[in-house]
Amino acid sequence: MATNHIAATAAEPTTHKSVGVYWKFLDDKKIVWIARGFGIAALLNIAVALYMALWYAPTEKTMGHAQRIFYFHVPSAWIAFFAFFIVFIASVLFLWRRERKWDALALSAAEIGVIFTTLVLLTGPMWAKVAWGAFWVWDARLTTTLILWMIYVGYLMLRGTADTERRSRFAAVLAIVGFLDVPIIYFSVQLWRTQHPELLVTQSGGLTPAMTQTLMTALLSFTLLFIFLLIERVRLEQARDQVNFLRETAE
Amino acid sequence: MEYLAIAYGLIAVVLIGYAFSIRQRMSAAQRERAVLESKNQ
Repeated sequence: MATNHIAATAAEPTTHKSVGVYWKFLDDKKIVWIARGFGIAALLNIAVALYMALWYAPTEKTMGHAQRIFYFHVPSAWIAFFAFFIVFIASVLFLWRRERKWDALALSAAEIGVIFTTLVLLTGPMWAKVAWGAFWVWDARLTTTLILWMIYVGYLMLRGTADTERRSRFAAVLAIVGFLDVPIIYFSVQLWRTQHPELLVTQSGGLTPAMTQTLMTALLSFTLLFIFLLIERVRLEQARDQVNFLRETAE
Repeated sequence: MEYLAIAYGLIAVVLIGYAFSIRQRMSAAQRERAVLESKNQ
């Protein structure tokens, strides 16, 4: 039955409120307001990061203004990797404990991870066109990043099929195997000959203090945004589970 | 400069679009939940 894996705890009387709310604190009004606080803090921080990226950070000599793409491109990649790490952990916990809350967390983080990987794949070519003269090259890092995006888009497509526990298990296995691509992407610049810049946040990476401060501000703003989006996305999953339960009991 | 504008524009479109999509889906789920709750009572 579709709701078998949705039932959070057998001890509670089964109503749509107990079924869908596996993280009760997320529906607490205080938490809702804290989540909104994260959203507002993210917006303000993005405004500051944008100001720093456009006016505070110095213009790079060889690439000019196009180098400023880097301040949001790199944090997008870091947040995507972090999101897929959460998917990985939540999928392992789901396979181990078979609790719907881990499945919902994995799905929510995967969707946000795909969004941030999309940003990486959209902004990277803009930078590449100026740096390399081409929007895309089949470089190791670019190719492995594209593969990562395809793996997790596939994961989301799999999640779109019939709502069963078996689908959730298959998806969890795919998410765990797919996460192996993240360290491959990270080390690709060392494993293969590649055009993509290596570690940019080291002293040898050529960043001035103003550039590093801008990068860190942008990273903070995307981290706040990620927390906000993740809370909202899990709350959406809880609401959907309640609707599914109500639908089944109405039939 | 134009590539920078395109890149930042794409970031804005994707993030605003995604946040809006979560909001829309949440409203739809809440509406449906309210309808089903009233039917079940």
